[in-house]
Amino acid sequence: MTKHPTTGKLATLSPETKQMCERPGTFSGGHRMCAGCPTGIFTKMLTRVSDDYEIVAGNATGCLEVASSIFPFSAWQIPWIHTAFENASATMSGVEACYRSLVRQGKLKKKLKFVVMGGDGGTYDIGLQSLSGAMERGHDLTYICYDNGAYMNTGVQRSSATPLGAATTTTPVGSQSYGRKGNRKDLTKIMLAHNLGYVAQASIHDIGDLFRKMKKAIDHDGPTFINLLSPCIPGWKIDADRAVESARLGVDCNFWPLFEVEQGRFTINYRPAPVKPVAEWVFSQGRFKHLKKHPAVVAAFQAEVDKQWAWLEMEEARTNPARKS
Amino acid sequence: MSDLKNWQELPLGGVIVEAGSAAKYETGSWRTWKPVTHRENCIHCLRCWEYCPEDAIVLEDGRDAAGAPRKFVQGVNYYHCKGCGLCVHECPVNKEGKVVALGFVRDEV
Amino acid sequence: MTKSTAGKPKIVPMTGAGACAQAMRQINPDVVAAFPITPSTQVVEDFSTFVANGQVDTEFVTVESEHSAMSACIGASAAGGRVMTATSSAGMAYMWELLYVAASMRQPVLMTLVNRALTGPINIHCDHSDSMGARDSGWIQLYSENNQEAYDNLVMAARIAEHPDVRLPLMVCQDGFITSHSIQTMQLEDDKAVRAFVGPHKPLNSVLDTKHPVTWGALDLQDYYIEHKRSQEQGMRNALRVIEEVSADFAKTFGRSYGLFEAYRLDDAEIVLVALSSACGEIKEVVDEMRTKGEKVGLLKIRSFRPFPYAQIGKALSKAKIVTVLDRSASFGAHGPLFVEISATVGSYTANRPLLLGHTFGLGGRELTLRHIEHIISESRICLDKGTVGDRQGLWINVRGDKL
Repeated sequence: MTKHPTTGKLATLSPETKQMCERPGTFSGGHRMCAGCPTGIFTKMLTRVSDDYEIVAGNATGCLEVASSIFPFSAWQIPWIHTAFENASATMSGVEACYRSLVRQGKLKKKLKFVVMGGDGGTYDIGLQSLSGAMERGHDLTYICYDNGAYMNTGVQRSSATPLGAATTTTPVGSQSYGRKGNRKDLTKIMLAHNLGYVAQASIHDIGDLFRKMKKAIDHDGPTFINLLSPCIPGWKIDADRAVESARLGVDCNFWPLFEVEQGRFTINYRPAPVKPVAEWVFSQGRFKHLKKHPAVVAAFQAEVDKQWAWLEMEEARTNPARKS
Repeated sequence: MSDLKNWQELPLGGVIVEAGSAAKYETGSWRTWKPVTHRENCIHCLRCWEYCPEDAIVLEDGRDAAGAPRKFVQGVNYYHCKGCGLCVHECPVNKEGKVVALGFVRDEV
Repeated sequence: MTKSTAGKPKIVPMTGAGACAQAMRQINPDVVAAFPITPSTQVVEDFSTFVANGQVDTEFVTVESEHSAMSACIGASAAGGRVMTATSSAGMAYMWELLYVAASMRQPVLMTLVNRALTGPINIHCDHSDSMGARDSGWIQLYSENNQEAYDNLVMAARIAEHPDVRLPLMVCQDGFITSHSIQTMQLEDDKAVRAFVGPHKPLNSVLDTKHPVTWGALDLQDYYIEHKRSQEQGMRNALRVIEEVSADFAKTFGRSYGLFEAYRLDDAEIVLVALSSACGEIKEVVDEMRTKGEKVGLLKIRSFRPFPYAQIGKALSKAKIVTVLDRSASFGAHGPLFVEISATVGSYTANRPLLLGHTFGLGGRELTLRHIEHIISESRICLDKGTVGDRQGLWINVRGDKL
């Protein structure tokens, strides 16, 4: 093996990075996601979280599903299934049930894990029923929602995950409208009500944290859920090289706290210091630029973020008193 | 891109039997700018590889100063690279502002 | 008691729904995913007791809706399992989107469809609006006159649906309440005999096969969609042959013969009634009665509605002078679906040109009595003698406010 010329320094690789680069991947290049779409960051991790099992994956209809599977091209290097928009969890429930059946009948011996992916459209809204059903029935599957805050694949229409004041094609800015009215729905909280063994919020910018959480979620026997902040280049109106930076800023202003809940015990994984004002994140994106004329909306947005963060700190203190801030 | 098959030649149910066949599709034609590695300044943190959505950063095997095996950044797979610039923007060496480990240049049309 | 060449059958009193649950128990599928809806509920409830008592190996998924039921069935089938379910009416309507997906993904999901009227108004009784609404979805549709036929059809279903030349989902239809809830005596075949007849399930491109990973549910652009659909259509065309082959083997094994349709006293019939499902029982009785009075009448009872056996039915109608079609569902603003198929048959698959008369009856469980059938037949004779169907075309039978 040859040594390579460097600046003299070689970066120390984190354990997560080491694990990732030493294992074969899931997702090939040549897919048709927009340039700079960060979903390829988390799909790259699927088969790399563990050697103890193999992964079977599935998607709800959406950007990631469409762009990765245009016949006859598939970016998926693992078994993968998509059927429709609102039923990814139900479809995988059937796959997982068949797996359990075949194992019980002695017809199959290997260890498999099941991962379902969907955007906020296919998860918060049209897919909520089937997600709730699958989680409640206790299937051994992990649901990963890549939340970009709108129905992006059909052209940026609002979803229940769209943040307050965002311009979308169904909540456009006009003389009577400042964009999306009302606060977004908190799906992570809804998932907490399903008695799951593991629920987490993560972001595509923090590789180590995301990798660790994906491993925990998939390792766990039983239903688990990860909500992932995943910026959208055309939807958020940011430059193609800014997805990671935008996610980082969204976390640094507490819009998207990184935390996990294991058997009801909350752990806040990252406390930004200093906490950036929400306005800094908001005005880094074209979808909010009109809010310069609506300071009251930005103030309301900040108030909501503060309220949710306070709730989170309270839950951590209540359920995880041993944890030092 | 592919020879279009007759209906009799297709596997039942619209299934794609060749996993990862998207690798044959050239998305490199999308870009207008392209990243260029400056290996002499690279600390091989693999951040560019972690962030690249196209799996277009190519790694190779090597050894560190102590002789332990480790992955290194070899270069860019221009067949798939869409020129988004995430790697360039997030490179920690670039961010330090002293030298450039990943440059970004206009691509030939 | 028909002679079975295999094992010891039993004569039992059983509802149609109960009979299908028994067939499911004997078939012992890998997965059942189902949601309850009247009048198919007993199928799922009976099966639940088999699961609870360890009489089957099935993984039973108590999904939270019919849309999820079909989704889970497709997922389980793609995972290489033999999969069954049951539903009716609004449940079928809710999974309608996925019926097309199951067929296009060539997943041989097996369903007991207990026919019930579609809402509205909401009605729990029998008509064929649910299965007729799905007639374009690509599912094989077999209709059953009574409990025995429902059971027999379901026993044959796996071999038809899973045949490599077919590989399509299949629904066995029976009339809600009339068949599903009435207790009739029937022959329940021996467990081992049924299992031997049905045989093992062969997975195709299973999504659990990590050694040969495949991508199911890809997107087609204009360059491939129609080729995939043409391939799907071929499966349906092949099903005509396969249904007959499997039915012939069933006859050899269990002694009861079925074809794509039943020709009841058709040979010299001048008046032919065409119908589906339980009404055929009543019609046969009236046909026999009127035959004693010298009327040359017969019944064409259709078993396979999809695929529709145009050529074969055309032959069966080659001597008919008037064909009176009874539809138990409406296609508003147009003729009923069965009438339309028979018209296509007579238009393109027969040399003779009989009069064609269509009626709609029985929606929402409205009775069709022997008296009504007798009236339909005698009015058909009048039309035949006049040489025209006149204003009887499209009459809805037994509706207060319309003439009979």
